[in-house]
Amino acid sequence: MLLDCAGMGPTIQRGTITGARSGLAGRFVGTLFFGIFFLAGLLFLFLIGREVLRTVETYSWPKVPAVILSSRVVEEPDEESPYSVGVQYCYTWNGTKQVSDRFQRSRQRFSDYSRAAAAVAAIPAGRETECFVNPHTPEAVLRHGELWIGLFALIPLVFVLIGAGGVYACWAPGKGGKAAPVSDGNKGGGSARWFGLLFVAVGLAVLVFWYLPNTLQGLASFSWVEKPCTVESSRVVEVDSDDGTTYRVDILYRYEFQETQHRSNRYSSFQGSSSGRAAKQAVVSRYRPGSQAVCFVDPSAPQNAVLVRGLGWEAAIGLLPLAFIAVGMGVFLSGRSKKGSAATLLAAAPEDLMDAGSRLLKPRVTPLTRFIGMVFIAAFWNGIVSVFLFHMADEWQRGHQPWFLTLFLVPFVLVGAAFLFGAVYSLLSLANPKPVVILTPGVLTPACAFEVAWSLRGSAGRLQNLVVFLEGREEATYRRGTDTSTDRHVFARFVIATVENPLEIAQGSARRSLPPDIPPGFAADNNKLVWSLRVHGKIAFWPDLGEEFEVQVAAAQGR
Amino acid sequence: MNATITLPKMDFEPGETISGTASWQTTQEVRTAEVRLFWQTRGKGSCDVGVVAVQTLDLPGQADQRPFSFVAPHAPPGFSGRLISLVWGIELVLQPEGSVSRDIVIAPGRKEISLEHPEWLEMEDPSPTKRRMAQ
Repeated sequence: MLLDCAGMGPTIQRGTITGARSGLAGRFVGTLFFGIFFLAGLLFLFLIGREVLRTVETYSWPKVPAVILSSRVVEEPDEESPYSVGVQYCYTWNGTKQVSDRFQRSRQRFSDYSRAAAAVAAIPAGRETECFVNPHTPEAVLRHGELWIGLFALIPLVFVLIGAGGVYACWAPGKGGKAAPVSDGNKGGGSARWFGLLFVAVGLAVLVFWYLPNTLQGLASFSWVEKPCTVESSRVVEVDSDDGTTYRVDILYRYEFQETQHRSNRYSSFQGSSSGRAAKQAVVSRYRPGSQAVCFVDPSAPQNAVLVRGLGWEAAIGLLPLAFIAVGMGVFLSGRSKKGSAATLLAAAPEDLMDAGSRLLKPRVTPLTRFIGMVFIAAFWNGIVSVFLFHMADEWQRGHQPWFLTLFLVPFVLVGAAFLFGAVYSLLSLANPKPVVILTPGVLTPACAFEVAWSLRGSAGRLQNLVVFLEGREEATYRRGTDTSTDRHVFARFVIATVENPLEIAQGSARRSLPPDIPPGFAADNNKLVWSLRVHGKIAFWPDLGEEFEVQVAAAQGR
Repeated sequence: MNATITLPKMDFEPGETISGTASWQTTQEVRTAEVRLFWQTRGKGSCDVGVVAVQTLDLPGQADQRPFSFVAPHAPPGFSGRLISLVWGIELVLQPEGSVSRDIVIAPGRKEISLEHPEWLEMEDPSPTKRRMAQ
């Protein structure tokens, strides 16, 4: 049965070309739409790039001695990020004494008081330090600033790529007007791969720079020291973003640790904003200005404190970066180019592929590789999920009832259990006997006879039977949205040997020939006809022996 | 633009010569003209295309007619399965005008190989897991 290539490729036309042409108006509308994408992305790319360049520039400025005159945390309560470093320092440049109040070239603001306090603590009044002076203008900075902000350029870069690609598609030959040659094929895989990589990069960045540090701090806070504190101010901060307004709790409190007074506005380890003002308002109402409360202080860095220790349910949202990474890897791997394109591979005549001698077959996946893969996946998945399981168990032990977190974790735990089962199953399979298979001739040809010889290394006596057969299957890989799936259909299964005699199971051989009209193997990027020799042995109360070996089947000679 | 590919027959044995004529009439100057022998997949999977041979037609005119000739490759043969079909084609590509193509069959016996042969399934999959996945 023939199936249509669902929207994937151009339709072959016969006779006169009648390819659909989009009108000029359509192209202009498309250009306007994608042009806005492009220009908006370019604008943000320019703004981020300018900031990064300004920071990079300070690295070339000469370093001169400086003395801190004063330092403090500056508060601007109406801002989303109300805290910044206020500093005054003096230095000498060209024989003249100068005073500067610039901490970094671009003003750095903090939503977290403790981060601003930590920066201030590092430059107390009277400290002799160094600053960087612009040799062209009377300008100095105490710190270079952070370059990682450049990572944010990835976001507008996506807009720029989509915009530029869209505008090109509107006007490119064969896209907007002329029918594209069928033999040019579908060349969209490259951009999909880049998008996949971008997903992985964003997921990894969120995981490494935000999620893991906050999770580790949240877990560490269980051992922090409990101290009384006084609430100085409390409010709900509105954060405007592209997705609308979100809210976060901002409670500033002071506390004493080892006879030194500190301040913090950290409520919990995860300090992000989210939708739903009412819940945040309820928290703020519990911490009225002037009221007494309890906070938990990091004894190794007393400027770090939280009002609620441990991981809140918000921490579970952090599993989303994993989904980003998984989707990105899936898109990237499915779109990557394979070694030896089909056109190259299949241009060979059958006689080029023929190998008159015997061939020792290699398993497609060795049991050890399968086991290591399963262990890695199970460890990676369960390692992350276990952080939340421990937290959930701790919450239940404390008498809290974290139902939401518990229900949220159920599917993650089930998937983790399946991975563990797979790891144990593949571990048991390692103890199975290993089949060694020799095929003569090394490349099969339709209508020709061949011989398969096998011997089992290991405890072959445990096998109740052994079946050796040749399997042919179709493998079709397709994309649906961001998912990539592969459908398989077995069209042939030729029995080569079925043995139950223990001696024949341990070592034996069999001959047969193939029908004259079977297809040869075929391997393109998305579509394959795969021939494999499979060895299956039944073992009582144990994972069965199941090995698959790749086999080459050449094209039939012309009749 | 009017373009046609004329072939004396549409099905070929591997190794056989495929000869034909490409003719066209265009409204603008033709920069390049070539005839390609290619295969493409159709079916459930995303399309794969492989160009096996290209003949460049020198100094193409706006109205022109040129012979071409290829040797049909031995692999891959045209086939049709439940998920995948492989179809061969000849395509005339005129830049900047466009292209036109015709399906042909290259397979042993000049007949597309069918993968629908119930007699080829001599046994069930002995692995319960794979059997479940196949269902």
